[in-house]
Amino acid sequence: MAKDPRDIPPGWDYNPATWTQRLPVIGLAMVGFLIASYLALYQWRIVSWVWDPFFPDGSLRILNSRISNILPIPDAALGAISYLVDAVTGAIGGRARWRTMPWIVIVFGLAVGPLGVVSVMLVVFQPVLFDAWCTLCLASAVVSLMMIGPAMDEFLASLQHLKRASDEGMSLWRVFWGLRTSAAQTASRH
Amino acid sequence: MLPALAGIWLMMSPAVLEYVDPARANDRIIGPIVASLATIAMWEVSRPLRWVNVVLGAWLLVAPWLLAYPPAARWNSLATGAIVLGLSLVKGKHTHEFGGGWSSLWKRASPAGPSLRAGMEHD
Repeated sequence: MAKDPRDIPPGWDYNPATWTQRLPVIGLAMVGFLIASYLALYQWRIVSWVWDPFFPDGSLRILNSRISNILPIPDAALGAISYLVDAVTGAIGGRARWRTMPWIVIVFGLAVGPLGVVSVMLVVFQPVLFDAWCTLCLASAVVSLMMIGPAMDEFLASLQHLKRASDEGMSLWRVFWGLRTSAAQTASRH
Repeated sequence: MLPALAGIWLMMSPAVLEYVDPARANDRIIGPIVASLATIAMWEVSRPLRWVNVVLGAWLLVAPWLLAYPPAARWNSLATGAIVLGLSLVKGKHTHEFGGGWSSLWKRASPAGPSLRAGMEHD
């Protein structure tokens, strides 16, 4: 595939959607998925014990707490699903996807951001509400935070692309879904 | 990077320095938030988040008086707050261009670049 200069967003000095940019995030999402799945297996009691070299009691207290089980499925299972969504939406699309399919980049950004926010919230809850820590929960939080920075550049490029399109009077809807803006529509505005 | 370590230290310090609420609760809440924001801000595109840590650093400087800290917690809060505040004011290395960054999204003028229309038609 030849390098297309249009793959670099206007006013940028690199393309935020190349595979070298995206693969580390996908890798982190898979690591997060594995950690969260393991914790969910414990919360479902498919495994009867959870590994924690530093706070063995803390992990048990936190993973069995009311907050962890406030929703119909345990929080680690929700985390695992979120990581999977991050990995899938991180992987879909080619190296110009910030411009050719903004919708997936927006979904990706919206999936990565809140996952990090929820992780931090849970990290605050651990000591404040339960006076306990959980090593793997902390590890998962770190993973989710490391994904935000590298995901945000692509997210910004897509938002700028949409802004530019709307400033030029193009159909935001069509640009969002990466549809061709029809020649007729363009001509009628001139 | 360093503010992240300062945040992690805040998470641990109630256990290390043995102080209790409200200083303990405050540090256990502010610590993870500072560490998280500092981590995300290590990437240049999300660097503006450092301004939130400037505010949180300032809060650590005044909290000992508003929340009546014991001495150990007070000195810890002052030192950590000064580090977080000071280092979050540093802009850091500028290595990339982001087409005007986040503020380009709410500025009137379109972000830099040639007309989209021309480019899209022969896509």
